[in-house]
Amino acid sequence: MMVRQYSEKLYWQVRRIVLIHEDSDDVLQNTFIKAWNSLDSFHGDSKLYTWLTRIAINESLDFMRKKKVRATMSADDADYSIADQLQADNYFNGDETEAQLQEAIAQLPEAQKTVFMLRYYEEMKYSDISKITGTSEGGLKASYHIAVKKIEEFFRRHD
Amino acid sequence: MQNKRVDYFSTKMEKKNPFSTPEGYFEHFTERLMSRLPEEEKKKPAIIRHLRPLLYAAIFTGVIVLGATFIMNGGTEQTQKQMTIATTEYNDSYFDDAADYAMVDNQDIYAYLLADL
Repeated sequence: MMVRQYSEKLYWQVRRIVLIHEDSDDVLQNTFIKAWNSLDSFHGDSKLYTWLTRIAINESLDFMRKKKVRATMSADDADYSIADQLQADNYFNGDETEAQLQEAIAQLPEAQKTVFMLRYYEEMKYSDISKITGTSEGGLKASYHIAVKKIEEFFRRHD
Repeated sequence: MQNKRVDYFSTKMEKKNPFSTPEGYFEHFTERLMSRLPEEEKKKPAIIRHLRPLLYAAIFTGVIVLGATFIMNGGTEQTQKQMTIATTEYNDSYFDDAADYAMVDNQDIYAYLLADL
């Protein structure tokens, strides 16, 4: 029941961080497995969806950290930007501008990336984001503000 | 100010989802997730799930019958010995079942949750 109810919503949160469908699938499965193995630590003091989102985001960020380490050790794709890779992806339907936006977001520090995606795409309240990230609402607003400025600057550089 | 900045993105693109998934991905996700579990972990929960209600019913019935028997027979020494043995056996059985239940791990729990989908 939990899987059917939340898998699609969690998938898109993962996908916006991980970008590639196959990787997102792996991360989503790991998210649910980790959730079940950690059921004892869920005390009901937050909504189940909030708790699952926290796990999903942590798993996604952890995956990207490891992928970055692997990428620095490998010459593969070194010459291709994230935007180029996305446009070559069968499961990416955006245009060049969309691809650039994803590249701009991918370059953000983790905290800014997380709050930007939850606020911009899911229009989540800062109070709910705070429960997921453990960051104060004031801190989140500041991170969002900085994230937006960085993305704007990215587009100006690439215009 | 924030709305003005968000509008900057809106002028460049709609807030839409540029990502897609293979056809039927979400419909089949649950069963693919289950297939990642080891086979032996999937078998155990099914057996426990079906037998558990019967075990509890048997325990409860046994306790009631023994209690009634003890009361009706007035507690002769022979009866008390039999009761002690039977009660011990049932208590051991109860503890065995309780121990089995307590040792059901999280994979059993989520397999149980998923199996009714």
